[in-house]
Amino acid sequence: MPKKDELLDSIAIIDDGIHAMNLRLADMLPVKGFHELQKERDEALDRLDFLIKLFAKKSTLRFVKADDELAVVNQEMKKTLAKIESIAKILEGARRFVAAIDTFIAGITKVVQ
Amino acid sequence: MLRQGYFKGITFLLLAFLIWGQLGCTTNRYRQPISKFQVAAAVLAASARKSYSESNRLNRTLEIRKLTREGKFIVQSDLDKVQFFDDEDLQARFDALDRLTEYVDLLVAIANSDAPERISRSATDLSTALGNLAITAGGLGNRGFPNSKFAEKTQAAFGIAGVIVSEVLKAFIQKKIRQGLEAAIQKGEKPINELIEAIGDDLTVINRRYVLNFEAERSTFQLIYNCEANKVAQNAEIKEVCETSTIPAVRLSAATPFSQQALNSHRDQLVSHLDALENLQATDPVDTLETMKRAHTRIAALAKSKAPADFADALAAIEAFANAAKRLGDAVDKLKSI
Repeated sequence: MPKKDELLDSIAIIDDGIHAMNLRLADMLPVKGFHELQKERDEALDRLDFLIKLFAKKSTLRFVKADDELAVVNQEMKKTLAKIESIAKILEGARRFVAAIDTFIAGITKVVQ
Repeated sequence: MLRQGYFKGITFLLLAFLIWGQLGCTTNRYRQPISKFQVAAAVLAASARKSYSESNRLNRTLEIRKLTREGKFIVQSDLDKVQFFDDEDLQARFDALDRLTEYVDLLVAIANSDAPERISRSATDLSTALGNLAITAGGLGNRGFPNSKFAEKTQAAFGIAGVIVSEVLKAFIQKKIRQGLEAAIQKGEKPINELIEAIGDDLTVINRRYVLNFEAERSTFQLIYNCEANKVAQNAEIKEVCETSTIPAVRLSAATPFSQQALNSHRDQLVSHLDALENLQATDPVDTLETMKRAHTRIAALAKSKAPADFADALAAIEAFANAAKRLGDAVDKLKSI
């Protein structure tokens, strides 16, 4: 089985060939050889479609790999955000705790006085 | 007295150092480039998604049009051969595009985080609360409360400590955020570039395939037009080719007399087809994806260096990416009408 680059190269070569045939067909009047060129172009398109399907399957693996790698990076970013948020929560919790004690002691002070 | 001045001097120096340190630690320099990158990346991801979704439909439509023109039967295998992506292939691509969007959204969330300010405020509030608690607790053991000197000293001590602690915390959090952001940008560079290349290869292949189909249709529309025009020109060789055409409409039309109305209709069909072909060529994603790659690389360079020139470079590259993404998005939107 050809490698990804070879496959892309093959697709590009056939693509260029079909493009040239299309240009030739667009440039010529319907004279002798027109049908033959059309037929040759259609056969080349069939071969190209086969290679494109092969390429699409192989390319899927590249997406899966990039997806997996990015998932790790995203996970690390989520951890960073979570860590920072936890510091904020701890400080807020401590403030509330101290304020509650303060209120409690202030209440006792009033009673004692 | 001397000790008090010395203490104030040290405090001032410490604060100045912290504030200076914060300026070097902030993520502000990333906010604008990353936010702009997010907008452009969203447009590109949406365009890629549409291109993939449209790919099978468009190829199927073009194949059916071809079979119809040639007066052939339509069987599923004819349509299957031009369906390049099955459900699994499409899902893998959509998942990767989702991950790309998530990556950029997280970068923005980190860069725009207001956590340093919130944490700094919380630290100040905590310090104030501790000061109040000390005063209250001091009053508990002292029947003569409120002892104004004790309260003043306590508040002053906690006030200074509060400012220092909140500034230290702010600087610490800002540093953590910046480090997290820079690490993510640098680690993301490789997978992002791989993903951009994979999308680029995919979309280039499917886009060129559409163009080939359209070119093939164009030569057919030209043949139909020329065969009608030849009824006036009466070229024998052309007449023979038209009469033996693989396209039934051309073969049947060869036996009928010239019609100006038919010629005009074939001309209009050809003109609108050439317009569609031109638009299709604008959906070539190569330039847009190249600008995206360049923009992300510039952001990564910004994460490695502190030079102002890198900031300007990153902004310019992102601006170019945003413009290219918009052009591509507009062109891809028009695919729906084919």
